[in-house]
Amino acid sequence: MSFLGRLFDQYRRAEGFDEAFRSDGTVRPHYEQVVRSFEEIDADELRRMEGVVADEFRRLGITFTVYNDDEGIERTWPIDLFPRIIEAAEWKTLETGLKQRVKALNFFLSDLYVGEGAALSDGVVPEWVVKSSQGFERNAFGIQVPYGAHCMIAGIDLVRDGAGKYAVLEDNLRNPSGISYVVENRAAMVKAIPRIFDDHTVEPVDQYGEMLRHALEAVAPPTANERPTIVILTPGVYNAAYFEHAFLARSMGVELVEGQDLVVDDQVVYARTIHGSLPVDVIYRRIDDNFLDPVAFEASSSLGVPGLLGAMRAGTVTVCNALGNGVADDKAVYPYVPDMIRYYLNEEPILPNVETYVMWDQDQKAEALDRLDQLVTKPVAESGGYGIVIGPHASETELEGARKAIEEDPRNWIVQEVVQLSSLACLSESHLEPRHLDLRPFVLTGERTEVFPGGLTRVALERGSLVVNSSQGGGSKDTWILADQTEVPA
Amino acid sequence: MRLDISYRMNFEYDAPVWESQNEIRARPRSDDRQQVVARRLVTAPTSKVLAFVDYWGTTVHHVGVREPHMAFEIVAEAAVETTAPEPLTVDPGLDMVVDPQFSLAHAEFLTPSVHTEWNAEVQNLAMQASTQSATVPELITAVVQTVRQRIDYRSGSTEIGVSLADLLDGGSGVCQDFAHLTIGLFRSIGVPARYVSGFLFATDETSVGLDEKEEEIVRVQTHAWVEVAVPGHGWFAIDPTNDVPVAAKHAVIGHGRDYDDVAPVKGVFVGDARPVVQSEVVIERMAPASRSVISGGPRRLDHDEMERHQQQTQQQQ
Amino acid sequence: MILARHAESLYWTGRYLERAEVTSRWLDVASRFNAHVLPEDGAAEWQGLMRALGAPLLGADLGDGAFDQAAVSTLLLADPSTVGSVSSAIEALRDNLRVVRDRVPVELWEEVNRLHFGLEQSATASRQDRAHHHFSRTVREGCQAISGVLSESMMRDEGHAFIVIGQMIERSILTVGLLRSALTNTVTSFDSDRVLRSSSALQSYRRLHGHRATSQSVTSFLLRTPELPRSVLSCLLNAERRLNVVDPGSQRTAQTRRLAGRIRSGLEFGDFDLDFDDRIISLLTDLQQDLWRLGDTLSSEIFRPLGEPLLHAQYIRPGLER
Repeated sequence: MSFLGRLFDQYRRAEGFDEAFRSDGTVRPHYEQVVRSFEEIDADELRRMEGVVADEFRRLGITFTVYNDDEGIERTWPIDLFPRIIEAAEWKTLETGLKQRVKALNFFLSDLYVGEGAALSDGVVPEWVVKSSQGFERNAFGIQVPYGAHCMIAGIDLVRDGAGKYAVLEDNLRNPSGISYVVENRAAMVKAIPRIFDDHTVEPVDQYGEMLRHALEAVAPPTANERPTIVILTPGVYNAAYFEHAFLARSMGVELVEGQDLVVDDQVVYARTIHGSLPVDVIYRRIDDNFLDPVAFEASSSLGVPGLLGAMRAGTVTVCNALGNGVADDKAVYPYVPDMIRYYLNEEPILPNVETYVMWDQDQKAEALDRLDQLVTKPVAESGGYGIVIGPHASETELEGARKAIEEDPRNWIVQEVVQLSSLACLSESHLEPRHLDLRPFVLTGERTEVFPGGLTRVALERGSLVVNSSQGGGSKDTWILADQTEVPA
Repeated sequence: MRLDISYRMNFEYDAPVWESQNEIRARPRSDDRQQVVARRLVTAPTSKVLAFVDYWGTTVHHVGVREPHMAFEIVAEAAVETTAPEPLTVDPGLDMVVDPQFSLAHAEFLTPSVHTEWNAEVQNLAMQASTQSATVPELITAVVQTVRQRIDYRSGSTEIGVSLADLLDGGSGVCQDFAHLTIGLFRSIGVPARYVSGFLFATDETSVGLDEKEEEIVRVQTHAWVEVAVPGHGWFAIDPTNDVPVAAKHAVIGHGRDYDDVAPVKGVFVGDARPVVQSEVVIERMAPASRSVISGGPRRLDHDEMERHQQQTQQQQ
Repeated sequence: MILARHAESLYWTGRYLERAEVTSRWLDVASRFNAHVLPEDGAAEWQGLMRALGAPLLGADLGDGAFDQAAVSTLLLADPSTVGSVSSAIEALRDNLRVVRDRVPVELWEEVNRLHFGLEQSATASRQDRAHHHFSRTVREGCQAISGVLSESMMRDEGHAFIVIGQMIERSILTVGLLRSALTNTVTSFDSDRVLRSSSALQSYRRLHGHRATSQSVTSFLLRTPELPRSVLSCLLNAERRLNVVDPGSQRTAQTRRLAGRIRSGLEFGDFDLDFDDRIISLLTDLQQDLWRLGDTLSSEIFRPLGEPLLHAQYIRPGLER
């Protein structure tokens, strides 16, 4: 390989599992083509292509908002052009594991809100943990959801340990965002470096809108006609994920509405159109539970739709995701998800949790506090990477702060083993360097549960960093799921 | 005791309003100690009524009026047979009520809520009451006495959203303030307590001394009291506003962590107007003779009776 | 289906698009003409222009006598916080388009963003006459590119109709404002060339009427020439046609249509030539107000039939005395 010595010149494997290179430096087979293609590109060219993509993203307004001291800064979505590749067989396992997990979580939500609460009375999840969860929504009681699809759209965050074994780091069952970036990343890659797709059969991602629409149509209430009216409910143009809301509306061909565009009359939701009121059957909402309906929640909120919960109860409209999913992705409930899988499905979990200690168990707490400097401490009520203390990288003061916080309010903390995230080559300055990354696949549940063939790969900004959140400045990668060649006739 | 209750809620606006949406919690519940035997809920302008039972077991009516209107009236009527709750026959020590297992089982009634958030002063008062008490019944008496020493009943003296600290400073309140302060005191020392909304057959909130004799009609408002979790007994009701045992005169609508979980009306409307609220509860205690009629089975309030109720309520304007 | 709020944003997209394009052309023409007048006359000229643009606050900024043409045109062009400036129109255009970005062609949003970022760069460049020229050229090219996408790639659906209605109403209002400002100019007499150039109508006028131009003939030309697409009459006819697209049965826009028809027939059949000098200003004033009212009527009929949604809570407190 005579070209070696350019982009990969100074490539040194990071700690943990490298997605593309074995420990002896050889390339894993499914990355061979792409590595070869990149060896033919020099850094300047790659940087130029990155510039082209960034310009395109900026012009298209593919952005997200970072909040710092309450001040929103609009940033262009960052993408690294070296793709992340997942083999067909590996994906198959992930797919099965993800479906299994989301099915169990949906069973749990159904059991809790419209069932008997069997998991609580059978002690699968402690009742007090559920009832003290911020995501536990009493207003959700008795609201039936077609097919029990409480979580119609889930984003499950996966990480790989040192041996490359996948584990679930976090479930996102409320309003997982990122799917638009999956599609836009691919579009940008195809434009910027089409030739690296040569000799690969990559699962397409541009059918997401169709897939989502299909799932949303499936959960329409019986009152809807053959082609249900679907809308996306956004908090508005100033929301951090507004780009995605508009993207979804366009790719599904449905209206993007704000709360003020909808009105409830006799427990039916209508859209205010120029031709008068039009009944709405399915609302894919991207606003939080407690802003949905000022009657049931905060009366001063104008983002929602007054009376919406009445319509949901009457069964004339389906709201996705359903109310109260926050209880199931509460970090305090997360440790019990493997047991949910065993309880509801009578199966062993295919995708394990990251090993977790709950601070309300005296023994687990003692063990965790003893070696907090080797563990990750997470507040259960925060998301987006805020408030996390990574033991090996933390100062003594930070660790002391975490210890104190745990003692003060054990319910609010979990402690996990450090997962040495896997890494993959990213362009830094003039060379490719390893950066740690995770994977967020999206799982859709309508009549069936399906995994979207792709996912959002988020990468850490700096070498060695384990923080991959885009709100913390991380980047992203196009994620290729290789098609199963065995199914293709010769 | 057979109580026929007519609860009329009237909102008048100084300009047209529209798109009114409301949850009404005004129907007495049916449980071990009370049975609703007849019921009706109507609104003017008329509205499609959706009834459901919420998380707390309270019957809720969802009503709304989209077209512009200048007034909105809701009339909730019910005939309910009540009995007095079981008296306390256990005398558990204080240690039993703060036992971790007992606490976990009542977790949602131990944390501060919007209206029961306590400060150090509230907690100090509660601790003083607990040092005087060896058992839970003694503690209940001491807490109620503390509340009644610190605030007086004064109609219209507070607004919704008053904090416990302001209540102690102001020194007066209405039934729900008594209830919230009592709950705050209990929870601040780890005793589970919950808020009860209901109707009290009495000439006003503070006089409960009506004899059980002939038919009698009173015109009042909804009432609020408190239930405390007592180990070995279950929820035990107390009425801190009156300091009397909760009896057959108390008809329960529902319970929750505080007022917000059982507010009689939670609603919004659109328009540049302010509502003027007028509401009245008319409770008629039926003579024993009429009770025999009901015992044969649920009796619907008939039309004449309804009309009479409506006339009675309208005369109060 | 089209949401009332989206229809409103599309309508304003049209209005701001038109405003940005027209005002940048005016400024361009003004700076070319004003280069030859005395500074104190120049100040009055600019003030007249600002009135026509609806930027009255600026008058105060010019009060101290030290009139700086470059500074004023910077304010009117590139300062997004100046009411009536080209920048503010483009920002408002982008804000409105953002609301409806999922229902317009991607290229449209792309062009508007390109313009927005292009202007950001122009604004940071040195602020000299040439920079202004560059700026207004960027604006006009941007607006033309946007109009191009509108006519080439956008479906002729209701959404498109609302953008055009907005453009037509804005164009009418601005044209009437331009005429008023030119006819009430106290410094110089009516400058036909300048008015026609500001309306991009000089060539068309000459083709139709030759080189002879009076205030009367130019006014009549810009108001009521059916062959001139920029005339107020043509704009109204176009708007009426689009109203027919969004509301074929005329159930929801009856008042708007009545008003549009009345204004249009006033132009078609009214006798402007009679007592022109005495009556024209009050006619234009009335016309401008009618056009404003046309926008308001459209808004109250279909965009916001109920006015502002003011949400209030209602509740009942236990234990209160009656």
